[in-house]
Amino acid sequence: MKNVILKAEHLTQIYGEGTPFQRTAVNDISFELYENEFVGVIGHTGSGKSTLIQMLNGLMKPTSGTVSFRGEDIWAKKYNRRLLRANVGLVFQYPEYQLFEETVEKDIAFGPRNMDLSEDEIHARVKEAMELTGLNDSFRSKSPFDLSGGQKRRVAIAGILAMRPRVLILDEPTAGLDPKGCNEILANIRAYREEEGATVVLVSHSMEDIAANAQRIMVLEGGHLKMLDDTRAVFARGDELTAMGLNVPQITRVFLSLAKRGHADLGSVLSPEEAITALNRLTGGAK
Amino acid sequence: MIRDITLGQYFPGTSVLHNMDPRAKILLMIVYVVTLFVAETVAAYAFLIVTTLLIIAASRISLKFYLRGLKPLLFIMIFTAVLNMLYSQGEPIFEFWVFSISWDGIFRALFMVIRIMLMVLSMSVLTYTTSPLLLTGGLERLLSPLTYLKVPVHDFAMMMNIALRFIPTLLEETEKIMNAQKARGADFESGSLIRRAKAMIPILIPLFVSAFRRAEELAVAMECRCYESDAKNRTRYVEYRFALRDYLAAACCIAALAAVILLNNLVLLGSVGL
Repeated sequence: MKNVILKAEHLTQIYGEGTPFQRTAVNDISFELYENEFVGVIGHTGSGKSTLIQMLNGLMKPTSGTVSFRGEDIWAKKYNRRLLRANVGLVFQYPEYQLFEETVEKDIAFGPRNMDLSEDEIHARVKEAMELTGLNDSFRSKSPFDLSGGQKRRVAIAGILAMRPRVLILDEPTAGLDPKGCNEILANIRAYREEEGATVVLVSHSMEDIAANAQRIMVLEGGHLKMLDDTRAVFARGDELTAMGLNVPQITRVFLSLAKRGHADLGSVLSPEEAITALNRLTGGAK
Repeated sequence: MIRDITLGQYFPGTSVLHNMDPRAKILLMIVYVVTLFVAETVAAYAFLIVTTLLIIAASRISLKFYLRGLKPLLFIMIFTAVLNMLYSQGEPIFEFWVFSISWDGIFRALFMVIRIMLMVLSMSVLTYTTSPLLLTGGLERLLSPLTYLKVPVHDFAMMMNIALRFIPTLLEETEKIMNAQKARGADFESGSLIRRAKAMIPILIPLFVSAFRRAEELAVAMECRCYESDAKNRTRYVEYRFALRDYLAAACCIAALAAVILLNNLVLLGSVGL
């Protein structure tokens, strides 16, 4: 089960090296991502999240350090980085701004077409990606510019899913959407992970979303990897996260302060459902 | 890669030149360039090289950045030099085929190159020490008499300001979109010319869409603040006033012009005396 799919070793990215504007965006980060896991990435604005994920699919060459996909160094000579980008799909922030085709169908087909697949295969992948993102057939021939914000976002994500990446990286896929839109997108991502057995890396500012989905969490601060652990273990260190200007889910915060006041037996809690169970246990199930 | 293009460069600072009135800087730059063209003799050129270096020193910006600005003009300078060298009269010292090179030609070429270099350097001083905002503001104020001839000076200045303001934004946006399309397997680097031109479509369309969106948002934001291009009696947040340093700079500039004229004639008088 625990097969490493993507491995980063001592990744460092320095911008503007040798000029007065030199800045280290990512500083000596190493980690391994396993197949089919769901990893959350949290960190303050400017902590190096965006830089880090752009190095994982070979869009940005690290100043030093290596990234390997399935054991192969992606910056080795003759390594096909275009193929890598199909395998490590990256959904940028506000991906709807990258839409350009006349129809939704053509736009989603852009990625698969760049992979030189047969027309039948492209068609099948577009169909599947549209189903996964809850876009029914009526969207096929619509212009992506006529859709609502949430629909555009789903078309853009479908464009990445259609390449069937083994690792799906999303940079704040729910930013600027209403709660319903957020939940739908997150459900789409979960569905893709289950169906394809893919690895998902979710960058988000919503601790609730991370708590509800991620198995492990990576915490970045000032370009350093501060924590990489199971979700529960990371959120148990609420004080440290707060010191970094981050947060823990609201319900977890409540239970962490209850624990401080002598209710340590309640344990750590990540969702309202868990909270109810924990409280019921305390009261012996009495309502 | 795109970020390496430095357009409308400005290096923030607090030197005397940075603090000068932009109108004075623009006017004096014009006077100085005229002075460069007045110069004819070795002495005058030597004098101007020294004054230009002094001005650069006064800007407190490293000479390195100025020399970097000369690099793109290297071709033009060499081209001018060669042309001047070949098409000149005088005693030939070297001949081949239809070309002849004379001392006169070599001097002429040298002067030409120095003249272009000094011109670019002095204009760089203006753009390096003046923020684009002040630059257009100064230009607008200098050209304002043209409004009586129904020239929409303010509109042009505002358009230029907005354009300058959005150049870095659009460059950043282009890079973002390029990366997003690369993540979808787009390939901009290989293939035939037509293939590469076609590969630009996924960048250009989103770029235009976002440029229009930004333009609309900006227009709404400006209207929300009751912006009218033909508003009468608009007051300014920054009022330009000539200060002592501006008058001193003007005096220096005129002195340089006078000195150059003098140096031109001194040598002329000297040669007449011979």
